[in-house]
Amino acid sequence: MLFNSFEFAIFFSVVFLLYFLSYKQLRAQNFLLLVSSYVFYGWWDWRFLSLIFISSISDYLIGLRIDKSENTAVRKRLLLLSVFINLGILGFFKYYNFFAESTVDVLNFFGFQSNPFFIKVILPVGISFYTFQTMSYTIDIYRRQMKATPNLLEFMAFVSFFPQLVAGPIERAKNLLPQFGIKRKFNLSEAKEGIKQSIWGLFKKIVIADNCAQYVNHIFENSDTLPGSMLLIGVLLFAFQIYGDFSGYSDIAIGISRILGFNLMQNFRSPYLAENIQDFWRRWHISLSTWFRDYVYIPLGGSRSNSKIRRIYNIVVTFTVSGFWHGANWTFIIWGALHSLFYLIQNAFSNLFGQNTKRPISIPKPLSIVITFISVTLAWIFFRADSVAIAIKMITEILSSSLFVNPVPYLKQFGSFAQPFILIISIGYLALFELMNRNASYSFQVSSFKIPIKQLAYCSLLLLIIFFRATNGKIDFIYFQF
Amino acid sequence: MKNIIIKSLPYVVGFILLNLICYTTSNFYAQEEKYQSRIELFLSSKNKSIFLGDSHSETIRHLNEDNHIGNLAFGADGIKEMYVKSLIVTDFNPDIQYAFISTEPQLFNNSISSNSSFLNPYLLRVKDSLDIYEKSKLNLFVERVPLFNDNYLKFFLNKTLTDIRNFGKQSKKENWEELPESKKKTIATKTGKIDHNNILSNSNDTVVFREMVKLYKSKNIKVIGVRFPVYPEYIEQCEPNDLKNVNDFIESLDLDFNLDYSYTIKNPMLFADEDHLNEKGVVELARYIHRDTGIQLSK
Repeated sequence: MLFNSFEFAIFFSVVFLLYFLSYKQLRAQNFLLLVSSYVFYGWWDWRFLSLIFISSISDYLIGLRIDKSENTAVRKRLLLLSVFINLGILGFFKYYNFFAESTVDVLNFFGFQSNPFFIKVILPVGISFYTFQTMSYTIDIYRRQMKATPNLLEFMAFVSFFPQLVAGPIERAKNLLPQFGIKRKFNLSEAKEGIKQSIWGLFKKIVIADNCAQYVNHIFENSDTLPGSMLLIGVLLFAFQIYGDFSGYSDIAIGISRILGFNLMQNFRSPYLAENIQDFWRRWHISLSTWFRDYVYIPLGGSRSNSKIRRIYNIVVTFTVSGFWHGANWTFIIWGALHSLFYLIQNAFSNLFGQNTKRPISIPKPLSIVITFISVTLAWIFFRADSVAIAIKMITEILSSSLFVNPVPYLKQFGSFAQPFILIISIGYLALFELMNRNASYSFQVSSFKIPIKQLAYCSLLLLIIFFRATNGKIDFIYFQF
Repeated sequence: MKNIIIKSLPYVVGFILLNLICYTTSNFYAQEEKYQSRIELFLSSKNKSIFLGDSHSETIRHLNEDNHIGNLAFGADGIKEMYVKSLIVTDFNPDIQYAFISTEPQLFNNSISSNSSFLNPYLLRVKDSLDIYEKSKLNLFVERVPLFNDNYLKFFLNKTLTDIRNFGKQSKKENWEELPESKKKTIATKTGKIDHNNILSNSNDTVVFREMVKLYKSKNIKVIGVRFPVYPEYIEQCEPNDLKNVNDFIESLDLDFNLDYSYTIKNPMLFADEDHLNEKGVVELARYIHRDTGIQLSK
């Protein structure tokens, strides 16, 4: 059930109505959320429900035991058990075939003949999101940063909370779980903001992302026959597609949660206006980057290690693992590694020519934004390409003389795709609000505008959604596959 | 809550008005009415023969003065629309004996037909085991609202864009018969190139086509594949390899008759344009069909 489907509109209307009818009873509200979340998740495949159930029950029980125990060794063993269960589920469904294939490749390289044993399983949607969310719960209890909840219903509703279940934001138990313990009444101003943010997210998904997707899919599928100019268009459009798709989902998730009386963490903050890679990761998929910061980078030693090599190692490992989190493919690993490389280059540059050095070089802000955007877009090629070889070939083609081939005749072949003017207008509209509200919680902030301009903004947004939405069928959210 | 409802009321009223304007003024819905009335006409008659395909097959209407041939072909129909109509035919008309289905290569060019939503009311009535449009019953209902209908929106945007481009220009449609032969050939080449792009690029097309033939065979209805006469310059734009693949596929279906009249009619006076016969041309074609199958199409 996609957020941008009529099925979801009906589903949410029913949930909303029942939810606020039962506002006097907290247990009823939580029970309703749990049931509706299981219905929502089971809509894809009811068999997936067993995984989320196992993950919830095991972490609930382990969390209680860790909290009670004073024995450090026992606490550590219990934490390892929780991590083993969660990563075990994730590893089996998401990474088994990748490891089997890679092992066989290595064996074959050394002359040992071996046939891989593959398993045929469907990857449950959003598995990486909820396993990371529940893992952070047990880790935080282990670190004594929070108490375990004795309330199973609240915990299960927290793990399966449908607005953010399949593509985040990956919430911390410290932030979200306590909200299940408080009665939620209908709050008009929060609901209004939630509706606006959801509509803005819908615009990003069905106008920006889905219109770009038609071109991107065609260009990446035919990358071997297209000139560099077309590949560059494909890559640039992918940058907007993935941003529109993922941040659009987050905006809808946060908006819906606000309507239901929950406050989720911000997941994006105009990432393409970042001035460097470090800044980019403070603005892109914030819930994941802070997760890796808190549970991987800092435990590895972070930036406080005395050894320079160790500091570099910490950065490379964190970025590479975060790349691998996205998918079982070398393309994602290289994507992560590339970001660590950019990060290290930027650090080295700032150490040599930063404001506190003898030879400071100041790069104008717009130029640093452009350089960061180019770096991020270059890395997206690996993220989107089916294989590393294809990605390298595409980059080679983009850097060749075919970059100057006129793309118009190729674009004309696209026939039934969205008209280019639709893309230009809608991306321009998005960019306008991003520039105006660079650091806002979401960029469609028009409350401070005068009334006629505010009305104009609302009307134009609705008209863009109605008339410029993609019309070639429903397209899944990209991050569902992770 | 009351506040939200009051504030959103103008937007809701605006949306309803916009839909009403779209519905009452657009050619799209006039076309839908024509499309559905053709199906209704077929359902109310007891035709023994049925023609399915795009505008090429639709030219058979020239023979149909007294509605003795079931003509369900319609311009811009694709394989999916032919399949849904076959479900309607086999469900509602037990008298059908012959199904003439278009086997032309341009049907396999993976384009999405703008006619698909015209079939929504029928998809609610027949059982489509392939779920070819991947539309739930809810989607079929919701698409009745013009601004929720993707096909309408595409039509609207294309038309608006064309109108903007042609603003101030005088449109003059050239009379085909008056064109010099060389110009006709140039037009045929151009149209042929557009129509024969991406042939067989979607494997789903052959699956649906095969299923359609299987459906007729299961009801003991004879299936006659027909390729309508066109200008040679039109069909020659189909890549030889693509044409061979389409031919091989059609061969594999083991049709009762597989008639290829692409090059059969050479007289330019029998064409309405580069890929459609005129009235006289269709009468001529009916003679060929009678000669090859023994089936009398014209009285």
